[in-house]
Amino acid sequence: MRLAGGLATGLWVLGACQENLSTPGDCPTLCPGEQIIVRDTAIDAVVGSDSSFFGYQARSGRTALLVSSGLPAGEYRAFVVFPAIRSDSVTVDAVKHVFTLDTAQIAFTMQSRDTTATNLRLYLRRIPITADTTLTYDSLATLIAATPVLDSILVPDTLKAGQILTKFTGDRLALIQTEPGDSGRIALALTVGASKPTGIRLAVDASGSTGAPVFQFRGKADVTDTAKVRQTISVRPESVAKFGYFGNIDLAATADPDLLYIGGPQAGRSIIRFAIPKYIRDSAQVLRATLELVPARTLDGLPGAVLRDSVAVRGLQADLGAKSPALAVIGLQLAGLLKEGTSEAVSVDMFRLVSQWQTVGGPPESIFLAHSDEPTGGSFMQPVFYSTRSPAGRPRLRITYGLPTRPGRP
Amino acid sequence: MRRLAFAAVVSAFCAQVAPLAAQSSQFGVRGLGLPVRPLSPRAIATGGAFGMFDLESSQNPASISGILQFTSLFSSAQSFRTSTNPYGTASAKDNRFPQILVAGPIGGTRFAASISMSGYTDRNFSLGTTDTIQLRGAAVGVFDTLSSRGGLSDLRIAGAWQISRSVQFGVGFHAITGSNRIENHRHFSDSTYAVAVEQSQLSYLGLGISTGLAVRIAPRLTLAGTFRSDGHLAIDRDSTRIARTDLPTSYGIAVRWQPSLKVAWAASYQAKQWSASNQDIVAQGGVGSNNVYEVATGFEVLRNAKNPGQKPLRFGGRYGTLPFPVRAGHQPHELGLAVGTGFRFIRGQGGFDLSVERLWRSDGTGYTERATILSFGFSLRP
Repeated sequence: MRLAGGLATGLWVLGACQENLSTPGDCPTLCPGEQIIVRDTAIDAVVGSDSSFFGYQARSGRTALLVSSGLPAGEYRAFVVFPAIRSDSVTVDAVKHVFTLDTAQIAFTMQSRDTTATNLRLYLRRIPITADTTLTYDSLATLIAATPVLDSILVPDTLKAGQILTKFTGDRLALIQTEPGDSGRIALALTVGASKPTGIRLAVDASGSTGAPVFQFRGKADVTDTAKVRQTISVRPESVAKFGYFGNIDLAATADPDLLYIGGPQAGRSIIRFAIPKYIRDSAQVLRATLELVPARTLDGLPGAVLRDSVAVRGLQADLGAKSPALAVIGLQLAGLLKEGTSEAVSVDMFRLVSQWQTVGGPPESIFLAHSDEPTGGSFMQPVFYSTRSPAGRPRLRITYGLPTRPGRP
Repeated sequence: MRRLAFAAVVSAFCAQVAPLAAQSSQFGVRGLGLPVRPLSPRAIATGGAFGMFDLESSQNPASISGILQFTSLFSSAQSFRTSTNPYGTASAKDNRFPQILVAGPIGGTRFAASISMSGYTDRNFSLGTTDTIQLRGAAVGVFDTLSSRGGLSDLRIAGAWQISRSVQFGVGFHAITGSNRIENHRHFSDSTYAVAVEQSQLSYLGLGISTGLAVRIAPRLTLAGTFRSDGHLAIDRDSTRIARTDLPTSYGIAVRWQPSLKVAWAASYQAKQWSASNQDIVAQGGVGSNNVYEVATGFEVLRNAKNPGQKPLRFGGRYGTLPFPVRAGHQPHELGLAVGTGFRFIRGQGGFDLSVERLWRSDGTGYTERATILSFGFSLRP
């Protein structure tokens, strides 16, 4: 009996602490207050306050190689100089042994490609090991034109990203033998071809990460331990001056001061400033904020790319013009998709950033636009947008906001 | 003792998670909310008819004069209701703590005193509505929720004097206080829009005074009456005074007849002049308020006249009007039927009282409500 009473009390307590108060209603008939007023408005950027700046990423910081053929976005050629590699000896257990080469391999990590292009082939040409980043597009193209194809790598149509490679065995080993004067080094120029104009993006970096191109010798070592007979010697590019790419289009070189540029070989950024009306900044709750940018020219890039282009929007800690420090807060780096081959307006969700502008002592109402691939230098696209000085298509913020109604009337 | 400690902990826990008030209702949306009766579960079980004679209720300050030992009461009410209005039907439930009381005799005198905290009005509700609006050239569905938590509580300090064996008199001083947290939410069917949220807090303060009398006019017949005036209510929104609302005066009379030691019957009539608030409420954007009355009758049948708290049968009914119409000109009303019992333990030092009340509310325009309220009271007489 006592147990039953205890259980009943327990169930009572559990049930008693629950609530569900919802009742269907109709406002304002039944409600003791108005519904939240929702409005939508478009705010143009402050006229004349937007501009573009260049040079935010050094060429040495790039971690991608771009190679293209026939793209409207431009022609791109790349080169890689591998450091010296020994072909006569190998170190096994800290002791040098005679090495008998039987296979050589050159491999790349493909990061992006046009998935609609078939029979994609990466062509390798041997160029002088003196090649470095002092080359230009034209000088590299001249070298390529004067050099026969060493080999090519057929990229499977089904492969979207990953390693691609070529091997040299038997008589073909002679193709990658280095001259004594070259100290074992080898330089390669890269071009592509496919069933249609296309491009490819390869990984590279000076730290010799596993994604960088690799030049490998495989063979037998003169050791008694049969488990250690097969040996591999590998090298990756290690100097930032010894790999890179060049394109034949640089929109920044002839930049129109009345347009906004981002990305490209000179890593452009654009700053845009807004003046949010007080009645929104101080009294309204922002429900949705969208930055609208209108391209001033077709967004040419790599069609059908695995890695799609996007514009990155960053808030600023302080508005110092070209050298404004960006907000480092996670979640405040926004991105908007750039639709390749179109001139469609670009929309970027700005809700988080505009909400920050409403805070007391919050960041300035200014933003930096950049290409999302700026840190890697890995995009063919050089987007250009209309500015506040343009007759149409000016950058603007579209804000949907709620106004308080002070509910609570009796 | 361990059980008592456990009960006290449970009570304290629940007291933290819900405000002091009675059951919620769609008829508590307008005005100052749904009026709450300051009754113990024992009085509720009789339809409220015994309220003016019940020392664990706060209706009549004279009722504590007969107290023989220190008594404390904590009560809890769980409400299950179904509300219907022209926009739909919904079932809801909530838990409130409508009555806490401590009372005791002042040793060596004919005086007694009590402190109690009761619900005055309850303004707990949540209203949901749907609509479609045009945003950025597209139709977007919206779901609005207006939620209110809180209400008014009545803190009473009362003193009573047993003038003679037949006449008791009491005075109560009331502080009417409380707050009302209101949240307005608007959700969009398009998730790219953030949820719109608005919050507002109203706080209230008012003072009142009540007097009560109980007279035994015959060995088995007792009459009781009360009069109360509540002054006005100051209303602040987010610490800024925004309004003042006059509060009602009220009076009530009751009769108790005890034809035998085991059977008692009571009936009561109470009226509250809520029309005093009408002008202020309308000026603040409300619908208005009307005078109300309530009639109640009930029985208490004891199993053991020497131990009246041990499993008695209590039942009763009431009918009354509600002060705050949802729509102008349509005063809501409610009908209630109740039944309950109780038992004592530890030689009468502790007690449980239970009641179940079934309520029907309506305003005649499609707004109806059915509710079942389980009330539970735990009392201690150490």
